[in-house]
This record gives sequence, C-alpha cells and structure tokens, in this order.
Amino acid sequence: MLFNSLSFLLFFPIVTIIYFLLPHQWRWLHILIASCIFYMFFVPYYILILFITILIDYFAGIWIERSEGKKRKQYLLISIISTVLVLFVFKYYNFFIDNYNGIANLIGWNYSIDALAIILPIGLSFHTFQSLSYVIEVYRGNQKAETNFGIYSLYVMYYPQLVAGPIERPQNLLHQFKRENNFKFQNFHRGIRLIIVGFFMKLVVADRLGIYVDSVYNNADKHGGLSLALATFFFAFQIYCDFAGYSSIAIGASRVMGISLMTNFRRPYLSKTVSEFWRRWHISLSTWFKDYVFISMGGSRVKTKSKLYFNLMVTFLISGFWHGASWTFVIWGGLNGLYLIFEQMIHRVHTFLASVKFFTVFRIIYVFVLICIAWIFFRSNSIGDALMITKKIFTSRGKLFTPPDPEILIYCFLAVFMIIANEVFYEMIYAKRRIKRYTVLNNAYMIFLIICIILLGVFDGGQFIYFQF
Amino acid sequence: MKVHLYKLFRFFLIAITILLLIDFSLGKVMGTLYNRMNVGEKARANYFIRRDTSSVVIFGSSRALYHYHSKVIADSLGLSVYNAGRSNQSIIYHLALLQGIVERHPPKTVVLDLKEDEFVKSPYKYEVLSALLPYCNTNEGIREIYLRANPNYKYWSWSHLLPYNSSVFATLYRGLKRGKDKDIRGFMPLDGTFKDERKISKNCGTSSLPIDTVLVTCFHDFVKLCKEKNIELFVTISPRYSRYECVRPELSSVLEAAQKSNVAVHDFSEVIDDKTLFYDLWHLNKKGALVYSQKLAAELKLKSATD
Repeated sequence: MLFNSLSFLLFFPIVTIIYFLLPHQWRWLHILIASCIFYMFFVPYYILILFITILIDYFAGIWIERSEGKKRKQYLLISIISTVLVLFVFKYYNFFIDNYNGIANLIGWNYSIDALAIILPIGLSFHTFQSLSYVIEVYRGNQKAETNFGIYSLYVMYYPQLVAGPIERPQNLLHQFKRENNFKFQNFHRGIRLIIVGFFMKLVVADRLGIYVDSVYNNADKHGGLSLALATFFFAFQIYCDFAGYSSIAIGASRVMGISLMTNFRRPYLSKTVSEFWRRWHISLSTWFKDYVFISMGGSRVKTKSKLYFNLMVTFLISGFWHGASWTFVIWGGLNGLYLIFEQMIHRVHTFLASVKFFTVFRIIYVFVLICIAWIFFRSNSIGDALMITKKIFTSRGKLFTPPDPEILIYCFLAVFMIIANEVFYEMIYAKRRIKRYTVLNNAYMIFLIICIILLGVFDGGQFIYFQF
Repeated sequence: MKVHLYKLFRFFLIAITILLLIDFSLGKVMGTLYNRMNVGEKARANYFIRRDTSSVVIFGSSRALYHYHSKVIADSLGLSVYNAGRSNQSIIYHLALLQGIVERHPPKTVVLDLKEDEFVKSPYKYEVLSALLPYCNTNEGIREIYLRANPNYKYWSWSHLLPYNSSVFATLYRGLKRGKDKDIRGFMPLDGTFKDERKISKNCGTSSLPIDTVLVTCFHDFVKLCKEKNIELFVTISPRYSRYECVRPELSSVLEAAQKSNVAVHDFSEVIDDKTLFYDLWHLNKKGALVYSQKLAAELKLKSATD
C-alpha cells in the first residue's frame, strides 16, 4: 500500500482508531495484522519471504543469547549469512549473472547462465537491515533476545517503516510495543503535522520535479547541458523530498499511536561538509553503516591514514551497492567515499573555513554541487549515460528544455523555493528559538500546506523512489 | 484521556471548518477568474463549452487544433465552424466535450481527427484530462466521462479548489489580464517551415502495442452519441510529413474500432507531400492548414451532397 494512495487514507485512521479502542495486551497483535495487510497490498505471497527472515533471526537471537564463546559467533554468522542470502537471491543474483554473462561473452566463452524471472520484494533491503541490527545488538549484549515471536515479527514488520525505513534499532523500538500508549493529543498533533509535511514534500515537490527530471534524464542524449544541469538540480530536491517525505509520513503515522521512530533527515542540503551531509541524510542508514560496518572494520581509530581511507571507501561502496544492483549505484557510493577521503586530507582547510562565518554560504554551495555530481550517477540509467550527462553539463550549453505546458517549470521553481525557504527557516529560527510546538502559527502552517497540496500537488506521481531498494 | 479527546474534537472542528471555508472561498475566486480568461487554450475550452453554437465542430488533439482552419471551412460550407481541438488530448476528452455541449446545442456536423495511436495505452492520456476538472462540478455530461477515467474523483469532488490544481498561475495571470485571442474560431496557426530531412521508416515493429479498452469504448460512445443526436460524423486522420513503408500496428486498432462502429475513416495522412507546408513531421504550418482545410471542406461538401 502506498502512503499517497486513497487506500492508505482509509487504512490509517481505521487502524489507529481500533488501536486505541483495544485493550493494551491486544494492540501489538492488531498492528501486526494491519502490517501484514499493508505489506500484502504489493505482492501478497512475498510475505512468506519476510516470514523466513523473521523466523531465522528470531531463533538466532534466542540461541545467541543462550550460548557462549565461539557458539555465539557461529549463530550470529549463520543468521547474517542466511538473512543476506535472501537479499542476494532477490536483489543481486541477476546483477552478478548479467556481469558474468557479459564477461563470458567478451572472452568468447559460451557458458551463459539464465537470469531469474523474479521481482524484488518491496523494501527487502530495509527489513533485512533491521533484522540484522537486531541479531548484532543481541550478540553485542545491548539488547535482550525477544522471546515473544509476535512482538519480534512486529519489530521487523511495523507498517509505518516496513518498506522504506527509518531502519530502527531494537533498543529504540521493541520496548515501545510493550509499553502502554494511551491517546495523547500532543502526539496526535505532532504526528498529523509530520504527515502533512510529508505529503507536501512528496506531492508538491518530489512528484512535480519528477515530471521535469524524467523528461530530461530519460532522453538525456537529446538534451543540452543547461537542461541536464537543471534536471540534476531538480533531482537533488526530488530525491530528498521523496524520501524525507516518506520518512516524515512514517514517523508521523507512528507518532499518532504514541510510538517514536528515529529522525531520518535533518536538512541535509544545509551541510557545510560532506561528512556533515552524511550525518544529516538518511540518518538511520548512515548510522547503521557506521555502527555495523565502519566501526567493525576499525572505524577512525586506526593506526594509519590509509587504513582509515580504506574503511571509508569500503563502507561507501557497500552503501552504494545496498541502494541498487547496478554499477551506477556503486560509483555513486564510491564518489561519496572519495569526497570524504578528500575532506579528511584537507581537514585543516575545512577547520580554517569553518572559523570564518563569511564562507558559510560558499561551503554549503560547494557541498551541494559535489552531492549533485554524485546524484547524476544515482539517477542515470547507465554509466554511459551518466558520463555523457556529466560531460554535457560541463562542456555544452544547449537550449533549455521547456515542457509542453511551461507552467510546470514555474511550479518546479516554486516547489524548490518553498523547500529551501522552509529548510532555512527551520535551521536559522525554528530549531534555535524553539517556537512552542502547539501554536496558532503551527496550525495555520498546516492549513497552508494542505491548500498547497490541493492546488499544486501531483496526484498521479506513483510510488516512492526508495521503495525499489 | 477525556481532556485529550476534547482537544482532538475541538481541533478537528476548527481545522475542518477553516479548511472548508478557505477551500470554498478560494475556489470561488479561482472559478471566477477561470471564467474570465480570454486568452489561451483554457479560454477557448471555456467559450466552447459554455457559449458556442456552431454548426460544425472539429474535435481532436494538436493536429486538429493546428490543421483545421475554421474560417476557410466555414466560408466554403456556408456554416459556422468552431475548432475545439486541444493539444495532447485523447478521445476521452473529445467525448467529454461533445457530451458536455450536446444538450445545450448539438452541432450538425462533427469532424473527429484521430491520431494513428489514438487507442494505444499511455498514462499520459489520463494525466492531461485534469483540463476537464473545472467543468466537472457544473456540467454533468463532462463529469460522467471524467469519472470513467478517474473514478476516485467522486471522493474529492467536495473541494472547490481541486479543479484548479496545477493551473493557479495561468488562472491568475490570464484571469486578471485584459485582451483576447485573435478570433479564428478556435484554430491556432503554426508559423514556420520544417527544415530537417524526412526519414522514411521501414520497420514499424511486428508486435502489437497495448490497446486501452477505455479509449476504444469512448470512441464507440462518441459514434453512438452522434447517431443518437442525429449529428453527422466525419472521422479523419490528418496529414503528416513522416512516411512509412510498412503497416503501422497502432493504426489497425483505429480502423478496427471504426469498422466495428460502422464509420468510415478518411485517411488524409499522405495527401500533402510538400515540405514547405509543414511545421514539423506531424504538423502542418499555417499555409498547409489552409490547403488541407480547403481539401477537407470539399470532401465534406461532397459527402453531404451524396448523403
């Protein structure tokens, strides 16, 4: 079920009302059933794949806790390998086969392997990582193994964050399912506000910009540098608003029921360094990679600089590969890794620039440009396309593409302007002065956003970009 | 708990009331401005749906809009002609328009210009139908057809503001601006000449393209409505500069549907070969429209004489 669908607009209030009407001990079961229904709206039988992952990690958690010494590690490894194997088969098998066949063809070897005719289960990468974080935390002793199979299933399947995160840690989520959450108006108000903001970001900004971006990127060879640069600029905001919008709806829907999910985005395009960007962008995934990959390899506490650079690069290459089984994503990850390594190399320059306020805006623009260059690889249909687009942006100007209805372009700029204004306002005023959350101004803002959604929203924009991961 | 529920009730009451009030008042303002527009495609549609009383009406997408010179046809036939063509639109839009005016003033003759890929499935054909939204709450005929394409609209039709979604600037700008389109009865001429070389396609593809049954049904309903209201229907495919050395699979769906409805398709797609009469591969320029309109008028005359 998509958040931006009519079914969700019915599903959400019904599930929430029943949730509060039920006695506390039955609520988890109700949400679990609702989550199953939510997931089965996509491809119903794929819930069995999810069930297998849940079953493996549920027992792995218990066995890890009960055993000691080498056995603990063995159970952890079995759990990780089997969980990742499911992800590999559905997401990466065909990628490896394609590459193998390509190489075999190149060297004239006539042993091609058939690809599997399967569709990637929606949100598989997200719940795989959420399951993994559970077994790792149990192994590290930070979380007790969950003995109630239903509650553990709910941890993996909790519908607001089931298909695109935020990727939660067991320490934050599991105990909230057991706690009695009575209806609180403050939670409701905060949650609804986040939902409205999320819908605004998705319908008014992301889907609107998507019209221009798709028109240009899907016919990249026919467009000049100016159109491609503008489409890349728009894509930066499209992907941000698409994903942050989803996260906002997810966090808001959960908040209404009194369950807090972690913040996933914190105005990333106002970052002054690339490392700051990664502390503000897709926070639940960045911290996952930091906690379970980067630190496991030694993190930044290593003897040599080159080992640190190696750790950074490997983490970002895996992160790129997590996003999609394509070389464009790997290069996107690699580029971000390179940015961070370069930033480490010149950290003294950054320290100096940080001390002079005058440079703040330039630093923000510099980081934004770097991130946009990386987005070209993320959005392009192939590496060839990405290279051609990059080359065109820097070498040719061409005529600016205007859609058949030029009004679309005005809405695109307006959408970007509104998002930038909103981000700057939050960063500079709202967050610092801590304006009281429940004020007339806040309610007026909500009504303004709803009017914007009605007047400027795109209602047939389809699914969220991150669902494919 | 009671306090929280009371706050919730109060919040809903106030928020929904304010929202409905804003929606209603802003919707009315937008509606007034929309009706005041004198320039552009929206203004032309407004005029046609609400006021036009022409005897001959042209329906179709951009090729209708740019190819049928209303004045030339009117002079030749001695009847009033209006060109209701609109870029990017499909048969659903044409049917909605016909159904929307037929009770007020049924025309004597309708020319329906079809594209070769008129019935090929494409989500874009549904997206552009939002052009009908401003009329859905006031015109039952248009509403009925729009709901076919977007059944969920019935849940949102309470909003007075939604019909103006994505046309805020055009409505504000053109609604407040004075001036008028040069009156050529809906027809829009294209200035300029096609400069590139013609490519002759040798391969049209063998696999049949996905056909949208909703679009085919709309075509049958269009024909049925014309028959019911005794409107003479003339289905055409207008000239293009591109040429094919093969049978285009998408064209067969048009011919099949026409045959099923017992209507002749007048294929003019290759009657004009002069490059100087074209604006691009698919559209005639102003001069070309003049030539084609004369040809069409002669055909219409001949048809009414034989009938």
